[in-house]
Amino acid sequence: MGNILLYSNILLWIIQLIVVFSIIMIFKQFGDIYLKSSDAISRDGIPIGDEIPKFQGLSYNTGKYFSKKDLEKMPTLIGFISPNCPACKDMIPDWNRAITKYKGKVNFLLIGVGQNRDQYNEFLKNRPLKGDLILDPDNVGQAFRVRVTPFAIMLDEKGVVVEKGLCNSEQHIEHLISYSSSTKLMKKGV
Amino acid sequence: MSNILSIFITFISAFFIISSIPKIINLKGFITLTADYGVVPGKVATILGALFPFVELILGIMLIFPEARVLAATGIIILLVGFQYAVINVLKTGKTLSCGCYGKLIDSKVDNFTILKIRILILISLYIVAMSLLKVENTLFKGGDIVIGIALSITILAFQVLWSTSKQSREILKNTN
Repeated sequence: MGNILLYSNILLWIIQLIVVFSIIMIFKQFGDIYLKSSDAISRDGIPIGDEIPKFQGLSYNTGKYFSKKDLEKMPTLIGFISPNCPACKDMIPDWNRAITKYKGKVNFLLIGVGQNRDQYNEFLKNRPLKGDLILDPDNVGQAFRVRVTPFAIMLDEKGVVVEKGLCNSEQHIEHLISYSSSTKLMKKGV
Repeated sequence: MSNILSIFITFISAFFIISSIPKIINLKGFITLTADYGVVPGKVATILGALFPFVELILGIMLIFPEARVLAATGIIILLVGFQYAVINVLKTGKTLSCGCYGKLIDSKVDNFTILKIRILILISLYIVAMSLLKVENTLFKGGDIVIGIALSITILAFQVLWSTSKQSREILKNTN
């Protein structure tokens, strides 16, 4: 009788192990669905309708001083990039094209996550950037609730978020810009 | 102590027998897979691929017999160290490869779980060699030990199924984004 109890106890522990492992796997799956799916990423960033937090920083490439106030006269597209992200590297030519296309209609600002200048030197080597890039001033990426890069937030003239989302192609950039009132008017031919 | 040794012997023996049978059934597939590892040249890979499943089966059966136990457990350790070397090599190259550990029974990929599993099996086999050499006790297989040993083997298989399924689902999720 004692033996049966011992063996059944061991067997139950083995079953318990399988159950615990299953639960861990299920939680991992939930985590992936909640945090890594495109729906989850679209929930990132400051909610639409909210104002962006105050920030300031020097442009990495032009040395110009930037703050929230400088972005208030025109709609602004703020992009977040990181030096080790291949999609961010691929996005730079599209970003440059958009700057040329919407010159005088939309402000463009890139915020580089992390402040390692060497990494950004490498990032921009053979990859000329037309607009301004500021290196994550005071962890502003966190304040903007950005988890993945390249991510962008479209602001209206008052600094209020009108659209946000992943930004790794020309279509994404165009989609975000289409939410600004001045480009809407531009498309209507006004 | 006797219980633990009997349980471990049953576990390793059952695990090797269970995993060798699907490989023998689909021997051609396993030979191709061994070549895909790219650790040994083509012809050697063909010979090894054809031999491994039978060696596994024989070692698994030998382990049950006390006279052949040390030899079988040592053979298993050598085999596992070889597998570990091949798996680490594949991981270094970053290739996505089916580990072929259970033939077509479970579609498991070469990853860190494979390494962890191999290391656990090596540790248990070392325990069997040490205890058998020290002749701490005579191993008498009781019904309960056999049930627990087989249950442990099934547990490893269940872990593998859960891990592989979860990994596949995460891949699908990644590709649909």
